[in-house]
Amino acid sequence: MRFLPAIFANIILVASALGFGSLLRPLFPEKFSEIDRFALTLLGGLGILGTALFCVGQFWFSRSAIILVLLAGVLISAGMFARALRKLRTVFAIGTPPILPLAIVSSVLIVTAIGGFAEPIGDMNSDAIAYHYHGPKVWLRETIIRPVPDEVLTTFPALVETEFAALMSLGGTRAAGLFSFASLVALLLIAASLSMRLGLDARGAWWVIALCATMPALYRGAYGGFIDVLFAGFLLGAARVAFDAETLRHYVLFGIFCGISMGTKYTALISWVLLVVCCLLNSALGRRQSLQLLVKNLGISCVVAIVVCAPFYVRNWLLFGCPIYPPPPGLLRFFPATKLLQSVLLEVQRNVLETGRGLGRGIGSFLLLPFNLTYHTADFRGAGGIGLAPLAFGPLGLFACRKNPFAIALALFAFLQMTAWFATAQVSRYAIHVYVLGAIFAVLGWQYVSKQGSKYARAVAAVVVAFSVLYGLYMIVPERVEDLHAAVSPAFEDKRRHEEIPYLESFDYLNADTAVSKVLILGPYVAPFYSDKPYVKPLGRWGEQTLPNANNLQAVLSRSRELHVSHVLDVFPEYGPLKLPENSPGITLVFQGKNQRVYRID
Amino acid sequence: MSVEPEEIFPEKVDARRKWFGQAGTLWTRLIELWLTAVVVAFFLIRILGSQTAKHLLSGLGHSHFQ
Repeated sequence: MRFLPAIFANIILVASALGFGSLLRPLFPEKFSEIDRFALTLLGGLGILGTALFCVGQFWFSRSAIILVLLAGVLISAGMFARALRKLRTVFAIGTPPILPLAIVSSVLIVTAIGGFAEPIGDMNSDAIAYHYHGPKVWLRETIIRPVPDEVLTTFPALVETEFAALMSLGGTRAAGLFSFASLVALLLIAASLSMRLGLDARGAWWVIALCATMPALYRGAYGGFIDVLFAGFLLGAARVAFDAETLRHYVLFGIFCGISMGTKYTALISWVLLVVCCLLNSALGRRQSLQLLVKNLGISCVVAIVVCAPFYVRNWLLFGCPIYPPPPGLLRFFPATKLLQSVLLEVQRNVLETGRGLGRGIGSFLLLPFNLTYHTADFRGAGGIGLAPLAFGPLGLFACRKNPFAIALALFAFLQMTAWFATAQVSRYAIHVYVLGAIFAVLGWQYVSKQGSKYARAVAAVVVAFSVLYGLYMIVPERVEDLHAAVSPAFEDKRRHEEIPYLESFDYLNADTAVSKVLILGPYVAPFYSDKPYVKPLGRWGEQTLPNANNLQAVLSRSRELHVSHVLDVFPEYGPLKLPENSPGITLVFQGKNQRVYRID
Repeated sequence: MSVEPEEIFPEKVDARRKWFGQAGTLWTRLIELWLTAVVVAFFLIRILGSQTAKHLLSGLGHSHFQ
């Protein structure tokens, strides 16, 4: 029973996304297959839905507003439901799916679905707890989408986070966790679409899906509040359209997918430029249209992309004086971000540089990238890597389809994207779309070996695939065992909450006590995600100061009274600079636990 | 009536076939070598180099010398 709201919320959201996505169908190229259309409808719909929720949420983000937006999509999808059901067989049509990849993909999806029911846990080191889930929870409470003042990362583009919010509103936090299933399916569908476009048969497409599903580095971007798998899906959707675009409609569709990607993550700004360059080269060299017409079409696609992602960037520009916030130092020359604390900017930059260091910046490191991504994945926060297949078969796959312009365009995009990734932030999750392309070229190479190679080569190729899949499963399944256990055992879930959520007893006390109206959280590293009550956190983990001119305890306490704070949560050893002394006047201790105290303001 | 190249330059055609045959064999061997190297490197780095394997191997060595 506790899972039903989460399932219901996800079904409604996906149905609504399919409805919104069907609005894009008139823009699809006629020669697109049913699987192309289905994958792009789902991905495009998720993008449009997230953008629509974000726009509406700037003014009104109550449950009613969310239901109205979702309902609009569901109503559109109802019209196409019967037709979609008829075509569903064609979509998955792939005759009888080969047993082995089907079993592999099914097992990963089952683990994802069951593990997705587990309640989110963790401290401020978890991105989900710190901002991916925290922002949506605050927006729902305040019925408006605004960056959370004590967490600067909630100013990032928030297309997927608005969908987390919609899911939480309808089905609780479990619903946001279960969304990992839909995200992964969307990515696997676009992977199959690209595979078949590159000439793989149904069997080959299934193996691509199996290799993708068992890449630990890819899989890590699918669950636990990460948005990277869906982001990769949007970029691959853009690439799928871009390299077959011929008419203006196709370029508009390409622009929409680029805009959706940029509304999801800042890194898409670079990917967008690269896609446009690759599209220009691909179309110009293929001489599908005159250069003048091509430049005009690409220009229109760029305008469309900017319009689609504008809500996320204009919001930041209006609120903080800079569309990209927190701004890269170079951008401050053009957009003086007036509300920015220099210390916060430095702290965020330091973190970006530290997490994106990877294995260095030299030419040697660049040349060794394929090797290191395969064998030394921990250096890139790679969660177990991408398997052996891309390194083993990728070059052969590339060789096998060297005369296919679509394949060349994809390979060029992958190369440029990895170069940009290497030069900026070497975090494995940011390159998931390239890993998918790696899997596709791997299966193309495997087919080449099967046709051209000796008996021995075919045997070693089978070993490569077996090692990739088995090692991937060996890395993925243990990572999710606790989630699976928590999903099926309420007792274990409760035990895990107490072990993994810092200061849970205080949050339980504050959430249950009806006298609590607003909480003052003093520790900068305390996760306010667990507070169901409104709160004030004077200091954020990056040094954010949310109460102007209140940088000592007395000032904070006096401002708190103005802000109608009823209780104070004080924890040890995370005092920070706001250490509350014993027996402070004007406050009464009402709850005490290990390393945590709750006071009532008299 | 067409004349096949073999009839005019039989030795050149033979040489070309031989070259392609050798190149084909070399290419096949290269593929075999490459795939084997990838698997062996995986075995050495990711399996034998893993903490679990090091732990097992040190345990085995320890019990062997006792």
